[in-house]
Amino acid sequence: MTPPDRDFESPAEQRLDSHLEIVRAEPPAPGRSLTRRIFRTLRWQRVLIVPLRAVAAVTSGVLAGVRTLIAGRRSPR
Amino acid sequence: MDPDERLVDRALAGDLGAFERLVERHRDAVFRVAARIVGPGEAEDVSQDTFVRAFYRLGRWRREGRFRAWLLQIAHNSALNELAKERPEPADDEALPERADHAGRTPVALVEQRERRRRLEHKVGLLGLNHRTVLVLRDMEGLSYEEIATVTDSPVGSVKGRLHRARGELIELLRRNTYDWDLPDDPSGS
Repeated sequence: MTPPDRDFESPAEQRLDSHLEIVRAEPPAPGRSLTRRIFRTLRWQRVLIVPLRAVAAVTSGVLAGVRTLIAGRRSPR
Repeated sequence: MDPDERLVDRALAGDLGAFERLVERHRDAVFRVAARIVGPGEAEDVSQDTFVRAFYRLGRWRREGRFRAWLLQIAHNSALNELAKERPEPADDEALPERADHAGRTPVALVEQRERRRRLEHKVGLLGLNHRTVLVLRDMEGLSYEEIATVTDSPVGSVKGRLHRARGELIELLRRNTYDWDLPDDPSGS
């Protein structure tokens, strides 16, 4: 977490960098449950998304078929 | 080759375990950046949102940049969305009650350091959002200017200028603080 190169210019900036070290030394950390929460969300979303995509594909196929049928009936022979 | 590229490929092929390794690898950095932009209270929600969005957008990662920078870009956007929700401005810490409940049980130096850290984190939180973001990404997370440019979707020159102004703003905030931060005056007067 240390900056890749030191680019603090003025003495005040250099002093600021040494103060920021206190903050860098004890960073906020996530709770243990974060990964579990992420995967719980992903799993239930995947459970919904797969059938929803299938329904959307079937619906769009049916609509395309109906459209073709209507267009066929309207076209002059 | 980015060390994450293989895991991304496997995750794209449907391997959830590969994505879990990516989460484990980057979750702390995402959480730290989120916590320092939106505060620790909202950081878990922002982190969760970041990874869920990233999962569905993995195919959009352009591999010329590092995966971490791409992920932090999503975290940054997610943090901005969180901040867009109405919330009160943070108060100056002069008005905050002191946390002295551990003073009797902890060595004085430790309490002093904890108090300094708390005040400094609070002052960082008072910076404008753009300044806070570049300062956190550069001076706390150690990202390169190019990575920060990716995360914030800004030119590298703007990132450098913003960082310089952010440090100046933080120095001024600390100088106005009653705590002695021992910050020397700039001889050039800037």
